[in-house]
Amino acid sequence: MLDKNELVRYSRHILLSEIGTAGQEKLKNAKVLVIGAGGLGCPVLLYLTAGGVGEIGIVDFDKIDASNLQRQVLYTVDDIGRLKAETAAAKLAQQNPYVKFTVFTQQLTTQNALEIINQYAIIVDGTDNFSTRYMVNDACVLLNKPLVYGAIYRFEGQVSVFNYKVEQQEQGPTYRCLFPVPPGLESTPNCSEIGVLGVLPGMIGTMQAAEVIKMITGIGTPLSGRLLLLNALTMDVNTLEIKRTCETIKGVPTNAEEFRKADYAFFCGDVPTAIKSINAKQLLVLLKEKDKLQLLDVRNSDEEPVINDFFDLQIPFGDLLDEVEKLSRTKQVVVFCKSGMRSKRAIEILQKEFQFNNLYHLEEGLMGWIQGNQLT
Amino acid sequence: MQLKFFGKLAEVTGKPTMEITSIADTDSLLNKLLQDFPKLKEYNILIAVDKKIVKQNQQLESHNEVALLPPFAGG
Repeated sequence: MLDKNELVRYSRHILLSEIGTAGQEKLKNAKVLVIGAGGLGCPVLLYLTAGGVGEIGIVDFDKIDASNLQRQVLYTVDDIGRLKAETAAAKLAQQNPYVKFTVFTQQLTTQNALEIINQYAIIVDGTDNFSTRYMVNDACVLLNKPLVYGAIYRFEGQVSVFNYKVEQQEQGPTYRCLFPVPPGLESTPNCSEIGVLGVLPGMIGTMQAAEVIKMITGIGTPLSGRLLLLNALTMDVNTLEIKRTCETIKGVPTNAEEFRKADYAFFCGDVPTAIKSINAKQLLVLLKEKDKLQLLDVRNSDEEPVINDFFDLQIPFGDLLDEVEKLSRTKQVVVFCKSGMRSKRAIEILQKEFQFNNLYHLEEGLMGWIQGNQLT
Repeated sequence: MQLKFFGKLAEVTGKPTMEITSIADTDSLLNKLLQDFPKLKEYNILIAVDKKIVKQNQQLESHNEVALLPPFAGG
């Protein structure tokens, strides 16, 4: 129930017949998590707070820097060096004492993301790097949470609503339906040091806030299934239609355990994951604990030699992408072929496109295995 | 047909829009662009034909408008 002061505070919302007292109460009962309290996070937080969202979580481990002040409008000179999440919550609490804030000042990782995200009904992505964006997307897919996406580059922005399900309709597309594969190192020179028009995150962030408020109150048409592109230089707005594609969603870990073990930090300044190799002798040792292993043969089924020592799973190289869900994300997966060429290439693709971090390449393949262990 | 480039792709091609004639489908278009602008190979490129994102090769007609965009990470 809204008290007397709230009825006054929110009167301009309540006067809208589409929102009214009922809609404002929905806002009061809503729980929204804002990931990133930077350029996008500041306007999102300001308008969700002012609009009366009852509980807001703020995730950011970063501290305020002088170069943030050009666009991160919650912060002042005196705040430099302070934690963004804590500072933002303190300022916002002054703006609206009816909102409950929870701050998460630890870095979001595969270890804590599910637990944090699960406490909220709607998630807002205001992060500044691809690693976290893929991780947050995958967590939202696993937990069945809608994700309000915003991203900026120089003078341009993108907004969408992912993984959103309206009653009687199919679940909307996810970030991976748009960009199935994280970009390579070369196209992400340094995520934090690209120029950006200061007002741009304000424009994109307020659109994200509008989507959140529409979803909570159930009014209008959210950007689910559509990607909005804004160019602040020309003020051109394009809205592109996106379809949910099951094929690309396969890149998402299938359960919490896999998610916790997935490696999202292999680009955006981080070293790309190298290919881990083992030789025939090392494999012999590993085979003593075979229940911790998965052996993947990427040869065609009619290839010689037939190997009975450790037959486990055979997926011909060409079919890998279609059958990737058969691969374990928790066991050590030893990938092999005849001489080691295809297995190496398979691991490169699986690591890049599906973020596996538990794959091992058998050096010199079965030929090496036979020579090294004198087995047939 | 008209091509529209977004984000870094417009920086690589040097212009936000381009006219192109006689291209059969989206795969051939992408191949031609990669040939003309090899630096495009570095990017994940999303293609939309007449404002619909396409994931498979699609026939193109001269009246189509094709948008090519990369992912953005900034926030």
